[in-house]
This record gives sequence, structure tokens and C-alpha cells, in this order.
Amino acid sequence: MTGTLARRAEEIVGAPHLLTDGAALAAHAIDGARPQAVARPQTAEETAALLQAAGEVRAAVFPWGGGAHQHLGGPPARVDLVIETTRQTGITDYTPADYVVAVRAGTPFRDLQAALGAHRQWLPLDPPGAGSATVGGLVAANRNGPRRLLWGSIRDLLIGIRVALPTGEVIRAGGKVVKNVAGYDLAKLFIGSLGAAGIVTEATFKVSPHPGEGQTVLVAVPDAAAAHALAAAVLRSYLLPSALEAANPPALRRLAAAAGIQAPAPEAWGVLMLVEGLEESRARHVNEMRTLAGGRLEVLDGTAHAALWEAVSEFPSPTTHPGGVVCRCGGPIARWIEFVRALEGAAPGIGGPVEVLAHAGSGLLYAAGSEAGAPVLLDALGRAAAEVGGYAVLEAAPAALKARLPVWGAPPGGLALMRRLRQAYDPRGIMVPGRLGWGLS
Amino acid sequence: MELADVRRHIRDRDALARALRDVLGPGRVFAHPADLLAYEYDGSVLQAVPDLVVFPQSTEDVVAIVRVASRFGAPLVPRGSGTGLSGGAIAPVGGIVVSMSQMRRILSIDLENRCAVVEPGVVNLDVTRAVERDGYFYAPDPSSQSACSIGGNVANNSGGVHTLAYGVTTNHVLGLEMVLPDGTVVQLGGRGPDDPALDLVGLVVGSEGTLGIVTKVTVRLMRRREAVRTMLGIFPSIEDASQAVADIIASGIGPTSLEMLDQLTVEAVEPAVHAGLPPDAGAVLLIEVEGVREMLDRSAQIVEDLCRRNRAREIRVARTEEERALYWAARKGAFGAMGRLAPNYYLHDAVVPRSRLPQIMRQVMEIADRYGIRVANVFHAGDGNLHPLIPYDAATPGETERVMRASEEMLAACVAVGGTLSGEHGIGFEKNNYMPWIFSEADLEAQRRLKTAFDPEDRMNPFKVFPTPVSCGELLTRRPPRLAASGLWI
Ligand SMILES: Cc1cc2nc3c(=O)[nH]c(=O)nc-3n(C[C@H](O)[C@H](O)[C@H](O)COP(=O)(O)OP(=O)(O)OC[C@H]3O[C@@H](n4cnc5c(N)ncnc54)[C@H](O)[C@@H]3O)c2cc1C
Repeated sequence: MTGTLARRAEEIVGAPHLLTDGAALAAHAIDGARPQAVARPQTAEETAALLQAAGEVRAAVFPWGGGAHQHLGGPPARVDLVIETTRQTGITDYTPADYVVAVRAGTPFRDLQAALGAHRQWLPLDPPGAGSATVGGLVAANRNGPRRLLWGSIRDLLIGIRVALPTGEVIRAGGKVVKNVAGYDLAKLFIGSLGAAGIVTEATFKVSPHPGEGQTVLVAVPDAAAAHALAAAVLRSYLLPSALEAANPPALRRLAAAAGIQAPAPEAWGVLMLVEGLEESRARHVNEMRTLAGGRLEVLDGTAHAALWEAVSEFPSPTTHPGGVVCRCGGPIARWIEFVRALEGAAPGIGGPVEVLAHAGSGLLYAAGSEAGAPVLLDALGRAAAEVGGYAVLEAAPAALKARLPVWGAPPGGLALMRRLRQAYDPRGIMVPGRLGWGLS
Repeated sequence: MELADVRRHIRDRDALARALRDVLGPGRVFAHPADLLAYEYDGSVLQAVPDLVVFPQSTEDVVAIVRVASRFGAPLVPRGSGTGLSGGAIAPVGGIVVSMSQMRRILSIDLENRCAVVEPGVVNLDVTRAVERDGYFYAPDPSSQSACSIGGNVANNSGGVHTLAYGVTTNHVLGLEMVLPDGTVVQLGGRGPDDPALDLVGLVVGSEGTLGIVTKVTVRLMRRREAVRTMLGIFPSIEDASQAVADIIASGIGPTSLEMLDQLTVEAVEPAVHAGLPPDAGAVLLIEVEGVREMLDRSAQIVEDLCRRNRAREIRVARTEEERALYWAARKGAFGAMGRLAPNYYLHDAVVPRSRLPQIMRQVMEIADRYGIRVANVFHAGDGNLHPLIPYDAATPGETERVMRASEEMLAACVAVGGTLSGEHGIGFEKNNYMPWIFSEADLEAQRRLKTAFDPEDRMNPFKVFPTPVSCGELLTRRPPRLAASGLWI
């Protein structure tokens, strides 16, 4: 990064908000790479001006919210300027009767939930990193949690967006009403983009009445096949759980410990069902699950219940796993079991234990292991992904390891189109170089 | 400027037709004026005759068509069932209409993984029909579902009467196969949730046929709910019914449908459907709750209490499947019943923040009074999605223009309270020149970048979505709609 950019950036955000001291730079290192400066713009317009300035000198820009999900993506090719959104906070529009909220991107997710909670509403997302993530960061990283089964994901809840484009304009897409087909659904371009298409400065969501206290139904089963069969039975039934998880023995032990309950038998798998809503409905869920599970189950509520689901949400966070390696796999709903089989087959090569948690009603699975076993682990998951028509990505790993592994897995269909889109929205290639898969950035 | 000035002239139409016949065979290329007439309209009030109409039966056919069209520089206009309400499937500047009506196979159904792969010409309702015996359904259910195609739904991101709970088309499309304007076939999405790649599926859904021709769609299937309760609340006024809508949503019971019919709608629908709706009701609210059996009594009780608190004079609960079907016939037959009031009708589908509904309804009626027109309101109240239906006679000189002006004012009023131009019907060639009301030049430019990345030569469905130098006025129909004859709207 040239001195010119630093001077321009300082003009744009003001000296107090351009950080260049060692401690600040270290705190904003991405996969170990320190930026040369951290700018903290206060508005979308300042953000856009920074991007414009960075474009002129082709500096490498990385957006930063709460830093909760900076582990995602390939190791950066270079890091010049980090643009932090945390000065852009607060709700800009919220009429509770509309069930829509517009919020600046740097707002902490938990602050948003607290503001909605005051009206007994919520944004029904339960992502990892919820304690430190900003709203914009969650959108850009597309982080969702177990409740997506009933409530949907960011893709389903985000109805409008304001973005500073890499070319220096501030634009809006979508709107503030729950149904909207005016123009292209451009918001989709930014969800999960890791900032490549632009820096989110404001997001508008549909929100819901809060469902109130829920309950957990926990069933211990002998093995993966039994967990799969039980989850399938729930999905075939008329039950409408908010979440449905399958946990392998070490993952189950972790979750049980978090909930403060006694761990089931050491080799047991767990099927966890989250039920919310009217009391009559919850009772029915518990009863029917008892029948499906052949009698043995445990019902949790109160703090144990809350702690358990927080631990489920946090499962993908790298800080959860001492081994430091977390993979995410997606595919057809019922085929998460293939990923488990692949892991079982590769167990000798992987060496140490692997924790597995599947969103068993959604077709997603997380596997966490150690650095030493990572290459074999990722390879096994990648093969299973090819088999089921899904994908496997490495979400978290030490930077040096990431550099050696196929972080993003097999290329998706439409890659040439994605290249053209990248070129159209970021013609100078300044955004998150190295971060996206398949050479997209 | 007139449309004739911007028409995309095809170098040699006869040679183009021959080239298309060479790849498709003679029966699948229409070039005769009499044959083309059936493709000059869709469900909107616009009409324009295309140069040619072709009928592919496979992805390979579509590729061949796109390649030939490219050689001749001819625009392509994909067409599903032609029920669209914004002129999306007509050819205002000429070109080849690509009818997907012969690509209507359901290719695979996978209940365990809750998805199906279908060709774009498959009729919406046929997807649900194929899986309902097994207890599944395809959630987006436009009122036109017995006719409209999945491809058209994808292009318009269509909603339905259960959108309140289940969302719109984009929430139910998992993957797409598409032929790009350069003839390349791409497979988009379909790899599971939170695909790490760019969400091209999400960008294509709702793009109104302007990015490419969709040739396969992987749709999400949902498990049928165990039980459903359908109710009618009879209210003295739209205001009261709107407040009931707000209260029911706030109760958190998660109704799956909240549909409103006003008095004029009831007046038009009742003689056709015989649902027993009282002709003097100010508003009728159709309410549906679904879920496990145990919760329905309680939910229904909550609904009833909230309706009564908002001065409902009567609440009816459908006791049989026939009765339920009758209630729905009243709702879904509303457009068709407009034929009883006048030969033509026009509507838009603006959306407003839900709390603004009562205010907007008053404004809509005030505008109607000022223009001396009638408005029948039948709409997705739970979503704040209006459908002010204006019956009129297109054969009367000046009438169409008056209706369009009134409608424009209503749209402007909706936008003024933070609403949008269209909730589900699309922009097409009807509302494209209103786009600057809600988007800045930079916003539109950002959207154009998407268009250009897919279709650099602007050959896919030109003159749609984005503002154009010519407005749709020239294409306004002067006669009763043809679709009515098909019985679709009844
Ligand atoms: C009585 C009536 C009730 C209606 N109710 C509703 C409702 O409740 N909710 C709602 O959302 N809509 C409703 N509509 C509008 C209409 O039915 C929908 O927009 C529907 O999705 C259009 O489908 P179609 O197959 O008729 O598409 P068409 O009208 O043929 O085309 C619509 C658009 O899709 C494009 N398209 C079609 N196929 C493809 C393809 N394979 N690839 C790319 N682009 C393609 C066309 O170019 C055009 O832009 C209603 C219409 C009528 C007449």
C-alpha cells in the first residue's frame, strides 16, 4: 500500500479512525497476514470513498466486522487495507408492526436481537459467533445455525441491502417490504461473498414474533445408522421441529457437557430435536418422539436447553475445537450419512478423533478434527461430496495448512459466469485477493 | 420515440425460419401471422406480435435455437404458459418467442431428499399432484397454479396464497439448468445449502427471462402438514380486517394464509362461486392455520378471539374439504369473476409495509373515486401485497388510459409509504419505467452489470425490467382478453 492511499484514507475517515499502530494491525491480521492500515469509516459514503481510493492504487482490501468469521476462505494473497464497519451501528428503521428491521452493518448481532426482543420479536438466526459478530459480517459470511430447518437462513430472511461497491458507488438492492420482485434480487450477490462483491453497509430483514421458550428432546442411539434412521423418521412424520441434529459420540459429549447434563453412554450417537411454539404442539412432539425412539429419551428445558443449543450453534466456531480444523459439507438432505461413512472409512488415515454434527433435516454436516489428520479428512469428505452431488469446504485451519489444502473443494457449475460477475463488480480485483475459491479472488 | 423506431429488425426472417426448421422440424416453428397471433399477448393488458414462435423439446433444442438466433441477431423471449401479468412474455421489439410448453416432463422425484427435477414447462400444480399421494407438496401456489409454468414462476419469483408462511419461489428452488445467450449450458446450484460458490440460482430467480433460458429446475418439496383449519372472518370494514391481520401475526401462531376480499370482490365472486359470502360484508378475511393436530384448536381459538376483538360479525370454519375448497374458490376465482363486472381488468401488485395497509386502502379508494373507476381489492393481506383490480372496457376510447393513470397514482402512493412496485407479478414491460421511483441510477447500473455479465449483447428478453426510451402505452390492448376464453380465470 502506498503512502498516497494512507493519506487519502486519513482524509476520508479522519486521523483517529485510521489505525496503523502495531497492536491494531496485529489484532486485524487475517490468517496471520497483517494489514498496513485499518480504516474505520462512519458511513456508507466514506466506505465507498475508501474503496474508490484503494481501487486507484489497486490495494488489497478486506472488510472486517466483529472479526468472528475471518477464518473463512483461502489465505489472503496480500492484505493492504482492512475496512472495519464497527462505527456504523444502530437500527435505521424498525416499526414492530411491520416485522421488518433495517440495521447498519456494524451493529453487533446481539444488540439487534436485544432491540427486537424488547418487542418480543427476533431475527430467527442462531449463527456461530453470535456473541461477537456484526450483522454485516454474518451476511457476508452467510453464517446460519440449526434453527434454519424451520426458520430459514439469511438467504430467506434478508430482504434488502445497502452496499459500497468496489467501484466506489453506494447502492441499494431489494427494499423494506417482505415481498419484492422489482428488479434483480441483487442481495444474493453479497450473501456469503466474504466481501468480494462489496462491503455491506446496511441490511434489512424480515423478523418474527419470538416463539418463547423451547424444549430439547435428546435421544441416545447406538450408531450413525440409527441416528440417520431416527432423523428420517422425524422428517417423514408430521412433526415440525425448529432444529434436528445428529451428533457423533465425541460431539455429543461436548454438547452434554455444555448443557451440564450427564453424558450418555460413551459410544452413543445423539439425535437432538428442538421444539418451539404452543405448549400443545410441544407436548405432541415429545410424545411422538418417544414413540419413534422406542421409549428412551430425555427432555431438557430452561438453562440446560438454552446452553445446549448455544453449543450446537457454536459448533462450527474454530475456538470450539482445540484441533483447529473444521470442515463444512452440504448435499441432499438425507445424505449426510455418506459423509459419516467416508470419515469412518478414512479413520486410520485421519488418526485422532473427529467430532461430527449434522443439521440432519437440512443436508449440512460439520466435522472437526486435528491438524495432522486434516488432509485425509478433507479428502474423504471431498470424495463423499462428489458421490452425493454436494460440496465440502475447509472452514477453519491454521494458515500454513490452508495454503496446502483444497480449501474450497471441487469447482461449482457456472464458474465462468462467476468470473464475469467478479470482473463486472470488482474490475480492479481489489477485494479479498486469495480469499475466494477457484481463483475467483 | 415509438416502438417501431427501436424494433430489432431481423436481417432475413425467412432464412431464420428455415434455419430453425432445419434443427427443430417444420411443426415446431410458427411463422404464419395467424399462428403468431396467439402469442401476441400474455396475462397483462399489453400485446405485441413476435416474428416467430418456436417449441423446443429438450435442452439441446434450446441450445440450437439460441445459436441460430445469435447468427441472425434475433432477440429471444422465453415463454411459459403466458399467464404473466406484466408483459414479460411478449415481444415488444420483435424476436423469437421460445415457448417452453413442450418441455413439461417431471424428470425425477426424490422424496427422501425432498426435491424434484422438472422441466420448465411443467405446470405448477402438477408438481404437487405428482407427490401429494405420498404426503408432499410444492409450496409456492400462485392463484394461477393450474396453468402457470415452473419456468415462469422461476422467472417472476412468483408468490402464492401461502407465501406468508412458506415464502416465494426463490425459497424453493435448489438448482437450475440454463442455456446462456451464447448457447452454453450451465448447471447452477443444487449442491446443498450454503453452497460456498456465488449464489447464481438466487440471482437468476426473479430475472424475468432476461439472463438466459431455464431448461431444468430442481425444486424443494415439503411435507404436507398434518391438519389444516380454514376460516372466514366477516368484517364490517377493511380497517377492522387489517387490524385483525396485524393481531393474528403478532400472536405468533404463524398462520399460513391471510387473504383479504373486499365488498366489490365478494359481489363479483359470490354469484360465480356460491360460497355463501354475505354481499354486505365490508371485508372478508380468509385465514388458514396448519400444523400438528394438537395445536389447531388452540390456534383457531386465538384467531377467533382476535377477529371478534376487531368487530368480526361472524367467523366460519370449514368443516369439510368441500367447504374449504369453496372458500378458496372464492379467493382464487376473484380475477376471473371480474368478467362479470366489465370485459377487461387491470391490476398491479404493489407491496406496502404491513402497518400501512389501512392507510393505503383508503388512498386507493380515494384515487378510484377521483378517477370515477371501481376497484375490487383482493390481496395477500398478511404480506402487505395489494391487488387493486380495476374492471373496465378497453373498447371505450380513453378508458384504458384513465385506468392506467389511476393505477399509476396508486403505485406512487404505495412507493411513497416505503413500498415497492411489485410483490410477485414482475416488472416486465409494464412497470419498467417506474423503476427510477425506487432505484437510483447507481442502483440500476449495478443491476445492469449483472445483466451484461450474462447477456452482453442484450438478446434475452430485451426492453424488460430496465427503463426504456419507449413506454408500454402503444401496446395497450383494445379488446377483451383472450385468456378468458380458455376458462383459466373462472
Ligand atoms: C388469474 C391469475 C392469477 C395469478 N395469481 C398469481 C399469484 O397468486 N401469484 C403470483 O406470483 N403470480 C400470479 N399470477 C401471475 C402469473 O401467473 C405468474 O407470474 C406466473 O409465474 C407466470 O408463469 P407463466 O408460465 O404463465 O409465465 P409467462 O407469463 O409465460 O412468462 C413470465 C416470465 O417468465 C419468463 N419465462 C418463462 N419461462 C421461462 C424459462 N424457461 N426461462 C426463462 N424465462 C422464462 C418469460 O420470459 C416472462 O418474463 C396470476 C396470473 C393470473 C392470470
